[in-house]
Amino acid sequence: MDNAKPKLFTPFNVITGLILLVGIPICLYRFMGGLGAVTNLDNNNPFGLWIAFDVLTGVALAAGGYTIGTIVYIFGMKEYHPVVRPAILTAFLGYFLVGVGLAFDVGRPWRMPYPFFMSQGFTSVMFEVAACVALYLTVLFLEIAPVALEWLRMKALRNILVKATIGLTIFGVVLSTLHQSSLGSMFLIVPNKIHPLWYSTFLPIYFFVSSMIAGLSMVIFESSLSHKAFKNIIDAEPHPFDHDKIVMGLGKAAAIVMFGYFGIKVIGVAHGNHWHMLATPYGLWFLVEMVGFVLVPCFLYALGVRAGNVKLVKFTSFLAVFGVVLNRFNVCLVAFNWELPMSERYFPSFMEFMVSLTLVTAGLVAFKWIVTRMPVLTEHPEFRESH
Amino acid sequence: MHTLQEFFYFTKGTEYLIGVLFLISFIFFYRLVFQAPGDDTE
Amino acid sequence: MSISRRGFLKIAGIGGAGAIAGAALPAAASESDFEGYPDRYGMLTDVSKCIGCRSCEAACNKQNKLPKPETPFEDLSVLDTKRRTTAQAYTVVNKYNTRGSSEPAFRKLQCNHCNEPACVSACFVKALTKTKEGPVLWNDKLCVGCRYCMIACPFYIPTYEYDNAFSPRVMKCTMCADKVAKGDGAPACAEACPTEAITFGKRSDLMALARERIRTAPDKYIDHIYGETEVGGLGWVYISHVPFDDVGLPTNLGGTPYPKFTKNALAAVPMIVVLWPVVLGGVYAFARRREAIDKQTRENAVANAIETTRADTQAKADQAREAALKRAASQAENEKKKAVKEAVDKALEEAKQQQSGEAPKEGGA
Repeated sequence: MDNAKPKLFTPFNVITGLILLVGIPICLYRFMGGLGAVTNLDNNNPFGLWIAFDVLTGVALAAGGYTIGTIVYIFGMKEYHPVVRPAILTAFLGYFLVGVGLAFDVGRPWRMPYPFFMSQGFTSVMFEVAACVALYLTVLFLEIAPVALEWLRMKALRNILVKATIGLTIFGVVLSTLHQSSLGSMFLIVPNKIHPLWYSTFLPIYFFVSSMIAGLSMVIFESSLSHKAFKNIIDAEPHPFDHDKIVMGLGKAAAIVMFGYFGIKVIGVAHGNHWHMLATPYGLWFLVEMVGFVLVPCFLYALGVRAGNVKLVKFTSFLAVFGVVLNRFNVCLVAFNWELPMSERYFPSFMEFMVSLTLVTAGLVAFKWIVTRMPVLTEHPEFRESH
Repeated sequence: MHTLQEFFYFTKGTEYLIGVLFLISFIFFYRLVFQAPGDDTE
Repeated sequence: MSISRRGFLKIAGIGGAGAIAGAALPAAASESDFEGYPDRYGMLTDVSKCIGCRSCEAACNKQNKLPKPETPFEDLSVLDTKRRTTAQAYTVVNKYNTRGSSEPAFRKLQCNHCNEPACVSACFVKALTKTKEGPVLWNDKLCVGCRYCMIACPFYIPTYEYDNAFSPRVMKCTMCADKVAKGDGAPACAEACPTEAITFGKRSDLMALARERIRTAPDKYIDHIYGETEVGGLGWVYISHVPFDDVGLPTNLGGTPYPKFTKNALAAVPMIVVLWPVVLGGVYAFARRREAIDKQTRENAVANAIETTRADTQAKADQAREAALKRAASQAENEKKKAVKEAVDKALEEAKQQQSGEAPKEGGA
């Protein structure tokens, strides 16, 4: 990025290079050898790491797009504008990778357009998820396209898309509400397979509300990292914004949402009358999730905001993101098939981990490639006045 | 006498109770988050 | 299934939110309980008659042209381990130690061909269907391979060809739908069973037969037909001399048809599609209005400030002018007075001098 010749062997390049070097052959092997060649999936455990992480976690962590979009464009809190573009870019890349991850996971990926064009299984939650994710990916593409268009100086087309911002944002929130919750609804059909502490008729609401936690916390987490990693780009900006103030505001919002989330989870336990299960090993694990990764970060956010401690809020954002990841893994893998003996349970294979890691790495590389070229973290000088 | 288990068996009552408790605790939590020390506004 | 042009246009025409809104309608519309197709076929397993000979497994394997197993069907030692259906075996027989009987019991596992199957409702391309004749069938031409059907099935029945890279299939019992449709008798397992533990027929007839068996031997059988009400009714029903739980038939599944568990959540979809834009549009309008009011207030404040300043300045200027005028006036007055006084003084002085000059003259004359 400087006038100097860019260095090839930076730590980032070396690590990502190594991961891709190992990961890409495994990715190819998945398509040549089939699911059985690389995964530990079996007939009792048809969903594995690629659903739990690439899809469920991926979608939850990409929730920053709709959360920040709502805050800035619908609630009109303009002071958060500087984080809109990175959040939407993260969401777009996230959803794109969800699609790629699904292509790895389904048996015949070339048939992925079938639910839209060949035969519509309207009674399936999966149909709703597929439709919303496909539509939302399109919406996110339209929302992030101005960044590329500004970079290419295609002013006319860019201005048309910018005019559609409000419409796209509202449509995006509708779609996000639907599929974030539907990922929870997907598990409504297995009351006999998921541990009662995680199974609830409120699953869709839990997934939706926790996606807001993930969205807010991811924006704090991701923007803090970008701030460190792309310091030179941000410092070049003639009108620097107060990043700490944005972190504090989002931390406030996350604290409040987490408090509500904890409340509805407790009501869920009361509704199912599952108190006695809290004293079992699964119950303790449930408490670890609920207290360690919901209640504790909730109060840490509150205390951080109150004390004006930016570092604490940033640290808490990591904790909160991890809590949502843990929840998705618990519903999809840990609490799923809980009554089966250990020998019939699932644990991901090394190659499954590598494929997921490869996808995340590819996402990071794409993010880096884009923000070092296009006006994401900064404003394009020619389009400055327009918002 | 009711055991704890029996008390919680009246699930609906428990849910209402928890709802009310959360409402009250939310007021304190809200003040914790939105009201800086020494700030008497709102 | 080939897609007609008209059909495609219809789908494309619905588009966007409409497609999602439409998603929940079929589920939401069928409010009444589905009794199951009349005259559908079913199967009855009499657990008390099963001797664990694996003849049904062999017949199923042959009928469906599945690969030969590693251990031959005559080898009964496989019964010592718990098995489940696999992509190579649509049906397996397990041996169970049960309460209230020193003898082990045997039970055949296979697809239960539910009246309202979870797998059918879970399929997002309608690759699984519940046929009017009774069997639940899978369509090779539509399946994408998401395996949500396998997640949904409460009995852990559907299996997948994980090792098939290019056309992996969902594999499960078809109740020999092809064979029966051809008029070629009963499903292979039922025909092969040496003890008549498996009976094929109209489900209504099978229910009557099951009731009759229980009635005639009330001491032998558990007084329940498994599958009469379980998960909304099964196509494959069971009677047993030992508790159903003990032969791997879960009794905690309840009578609710599994598609109902997701029905309400799907019904909420059009609600959100309709209501959210209204709510968000409202919030947006509210935020815009407040912004406009804020802007107006700010502008008014600025205008007021300008006005006040101008008025202030004006007033000050006026005051200054008046003061200046007053000062000027008083100065002029003073000067006038002074001038008058001076003139008077001067006149008096002159008059004095004249008087003093003339007086001696007048006095001397």
